[in-house]
Formats: sequence, structure tokens, C-alpha cells
Amino acid sequence: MAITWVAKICSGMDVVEKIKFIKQGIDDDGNKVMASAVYVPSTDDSYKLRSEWSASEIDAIADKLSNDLDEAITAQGGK
Amino acid sequence: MANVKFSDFAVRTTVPTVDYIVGYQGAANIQIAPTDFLGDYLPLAGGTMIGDVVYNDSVKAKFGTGADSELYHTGSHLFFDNAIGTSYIRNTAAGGTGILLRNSVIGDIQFDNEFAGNILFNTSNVERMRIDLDGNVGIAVDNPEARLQVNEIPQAGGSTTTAPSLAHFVGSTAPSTVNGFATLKLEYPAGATPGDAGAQIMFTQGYHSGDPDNTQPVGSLRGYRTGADTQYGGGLQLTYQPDALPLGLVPGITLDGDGTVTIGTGTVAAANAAADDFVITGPGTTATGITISNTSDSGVGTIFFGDTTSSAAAGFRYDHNTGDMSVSAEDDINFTCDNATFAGNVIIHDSSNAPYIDFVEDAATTDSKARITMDQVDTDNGTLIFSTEGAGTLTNALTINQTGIVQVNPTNASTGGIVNSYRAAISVSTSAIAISNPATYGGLASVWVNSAGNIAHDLVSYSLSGIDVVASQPISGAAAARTYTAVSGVLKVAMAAGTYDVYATETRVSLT
Repeated sequence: MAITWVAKICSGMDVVEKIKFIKQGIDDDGNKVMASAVYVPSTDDSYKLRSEWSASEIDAIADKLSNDLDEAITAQGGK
Repeated sequence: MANVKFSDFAVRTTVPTVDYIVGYQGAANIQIAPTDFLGDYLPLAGGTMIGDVVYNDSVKAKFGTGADSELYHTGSHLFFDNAIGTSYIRNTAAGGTGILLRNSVIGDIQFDNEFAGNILFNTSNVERMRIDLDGNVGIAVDNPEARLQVNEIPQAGGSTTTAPSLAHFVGSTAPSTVNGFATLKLEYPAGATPGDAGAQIMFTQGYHSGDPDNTQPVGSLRGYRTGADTQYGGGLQLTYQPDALPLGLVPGITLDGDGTVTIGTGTVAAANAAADDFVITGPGTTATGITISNTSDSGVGTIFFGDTTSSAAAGFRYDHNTGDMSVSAEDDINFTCDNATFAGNVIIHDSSNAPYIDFVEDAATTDSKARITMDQVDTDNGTLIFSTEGAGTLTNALTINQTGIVQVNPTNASTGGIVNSYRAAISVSTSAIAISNPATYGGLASVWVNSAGNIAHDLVSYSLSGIDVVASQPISGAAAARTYTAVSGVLKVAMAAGTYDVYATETRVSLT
């Protein structure tokens, strides 16, 4: 089973204060190995509402940090 | 020819066969006339010879009734033989030169005591010197135990040495500290200039095992002048023959006129002039040093500092058994150095049970600017206190108590404890850069990002691979978006745009 995305979570009441990205892998013992990253919007976007964030925009961020998450999972024996 | 008076002759009725007249060659028992004498005659009793008496070779002039002494010449040698009593050559003439024994041709004068006996030399009818039957020469001693023995006070009999030696000088007067009595005095009239060498005792030894007659110098002890001309001052030099240099003794140890002992020939820097009583200077780049050792792993080696008033021993002591080195002083011990390196444990103790390390501003004061104190709670517990000086008073700035609790600024209720951590900026752009050291479990990082006044602050919690931003706040300007990740316990950050100076202070949790 390949490393897969688990979640992309936008946090904040009305505005998005941070977006958390979580990927998951499995190690040789069958245990789940997870890695996460947090995106903190710029000051200019600090009052950007949730509805104003598009899926493609979030996916673009995820693509940039995907390799770091894969590396973190691999370092723990996940794959 | 002298006249012969017939009245000198008595009328004899018999003529003894032993009576005869020297120089008369006529017939016996006849009347003789003066013309019968051929030359001078020797009267049988008294009288004076007025001409030479010639003895043919080996004809002896004998003295004494039993020929006690004989004087004769063999044609090759002159002999004076005495068979009875003591032989004297005695001079009683006043005003002369005494007895002169002179050999006026090339040759030796020998005093030959043919059998086991001594040869004595007397003055004032007292023995002054002798050559004993073993060939030892004694001056003022009649039983010399050395090839040459000189005694200050005449000594008769007895032994003054435990073993024979070549020369033995026995002084009975305390040695003088001025130009007075000395058991042996070596004098060199020149050498009045400072630095001049003086009288010398040289030691030579075999140079070649196959040639016992070939000896070369190995060292010497000689006088050494240090005082100026017409001034007192000097010492000694112990010289040696270097192994790797040409033949010639060079100074090894010098004792000069101010009591300084120098090993080697170098000079002492002016900065060390206060410690030049004993100087070791090696040649060139050769290492120098002092080794105090013994032949076993026991006992104590000591360098001791004493004076007339010290009541406690001060110095360095090395225990050969335990390997411990002790440095002791009557009062403080101050170290002045660029760096002090201890390759083992440093143990500090004090009878107050609160030993401390003080930091002062310079060597001229004991005013502590900071102090590290071990405060003993009881026999099983202690705290460590770090104090700093504020407003002239040492204040407890940090305490680590016996349970490991760290208290910052514990005695200042108004300000409380403050922990600041400063870290150099890490330049970060759009690629993820590590901004922490690896944590074995995770940590909490305070991250400050700044680019031309566009500043934001994030509080980031991270583990080996998980992460969360606990709080985030813009500070000024318009800071760019950033993404935090954790890879193998290392916190990384990447900026969405631009290049930022990132300052991260983290508290890490590590597994033991």
C-alpha cells in the first residue's frame, strides 16, 4: 500500500488560520505511520474566509509539501 | 819532605810484625836515615796529613775496631758502608748553607730504602712527611691511608679512612667563609672579569675500550666569576661534554653570585625575574622540565613553599601510591591563565559545606561578579546555585535543587523567572530548511520569521513526523505564508515566497 493522503484540514472559525496536511503509510509490521504538515497563511490571507479557499489552491500547497511528508513517513519505516 | 826526628821513635827490643812506618821501604831492624823516606808519612797517633791520601780501587778506609764503617771506591761506584748503629751525615757548621746534596751531572737522586721501611723527612727534629713502605705519602701523618694524605694536625698511627684512596685531606679547622682555611684550595690568580672561568677539577674517562691510555674529559667543576673587577662575587660551574657537539666542556649548571642556579645557558625573560633563583633553559626548541621521581610506587613527591611565619604547609604533593596530586596553600589559591583544562574530575570541598567558584573582574580584587555554589542540604542532598551580581550584591539567579527542579531568579518576586534563548538567524526561502536540532521525541518551538519588517511569530509543536501550529500571530508588515513539517524529529520550515530570517527557539523532549 502506497503512502496516501489522509486529510487536509482547515482550522478556524470563519477565517482559515492554518491548514493541516496529513499523509499515512504502513510499516513492515502493519502499523500506520503518519506525518503531518501545517500551512500558516500569509498575513494578507489571515482574514481569508474558508469559502474563499479553493480545493485546487489547497491541493497546490499539498503538492509542495508532499515529498517532505513522504520522507517523514519513510524515515519511520512507513511506505 | 818534612824532617824526621829520631826522638819520635822508641827503642824496641822486639819488632811487632804489625808496626811499620808509612813510606819507608828499607830493610827491617836497621837504623834508618831521613833519606830512606820516599814521601810524606802518616803518623800512627795524631798529627795532620798535609798531602793527599790515595786509595786504590776497592781499597777501603775502615773505621771502628771491627771495621764498623768502610769508605771506598770500586772504580765504578763510591760506597760508604756502615754496619753498626745509625749512619749520620751531620752538619754543625753555623753560617753555612747546611747540607747540600747535589748531583752535577744528568741523572737522578735516589733515596733507596732497599727493604721494607719508610723514608722520613723531618724539620725542627719533628717528622713532617714520610713515604711509607707501601709507597703512600703522608704529610703530618705517619700512617697514610691514601697515595697522598695530608693532615692539618699531625697524627700518629690509626686510620682516618675506611678504604684506601688516591688523595685524602684531613682538615681539623672549620672551613672559612672568607679567604681563610680550606681543606683544599685551588687558586687561579687571573680571571677577574665577570664570566671568566677559574680553577678547575676536570674529570676524564676512557675514550676507547681498546686504548686504555686514551682518556677524554667528561666534565669538570670550576670556579666562575660574576662580580665586577675589584668587587666580590662568583660561584661555580658544573660542566659537561655534550654527546653531539665537538670536544669541549660547556656549562651545564651555573651557580652565580646572586645565588641563582641555572641549568643550561639561556637567560630568563624580564617578566620572570622574580622567579630566577632556579632556572632551567634548554637549548633551542628542546623541551625542558623537572621530574621528581622515585624508584617505587610509594611515598610522596613534594614541592614545598615555606617561610619563617607559615604555619601550614603549602605546595604540590603527589602520592605515588594513589596517583593523587594535592595543591595546598595557607590561604587562597589563584589561577591566572588563558585556559584551564581538566582531563578528569574536579572536586571542590570546603568545611562550610557550601563550597563555591567565584568569578572576579581582575586579579587585583576578590569582588565576586558571579558565583557557583554547592549548598549542602543534608548529608544526602545538595543544591547548585548560580549567583550574579546586581547593584553590588550577589543574587541567586538560578537554582537546581536536589530533585532536579530548576528555579530561575527564585528570590526576586517582582520580576520572576525569565528564560531567554537567542539563536542566529537561519535564511529560509521556498525550500524546506531545518530550523532545529534533532529531537528524539519532539519539542515546542517558538519561531520568528522576518523579512524587511514583515514579521510573524508561530508557536509550533512537533514530534518525529507530526506537527501542529499551536498559535500564530502576525507582528508587523505582511509576512508570507509558511509551511512547517517534522522529519525524523527535525523541525523544518519553508516560506511560500521570499527569503526570511528565521529565529527558532525550541524546547525539546528527548528520551533517555
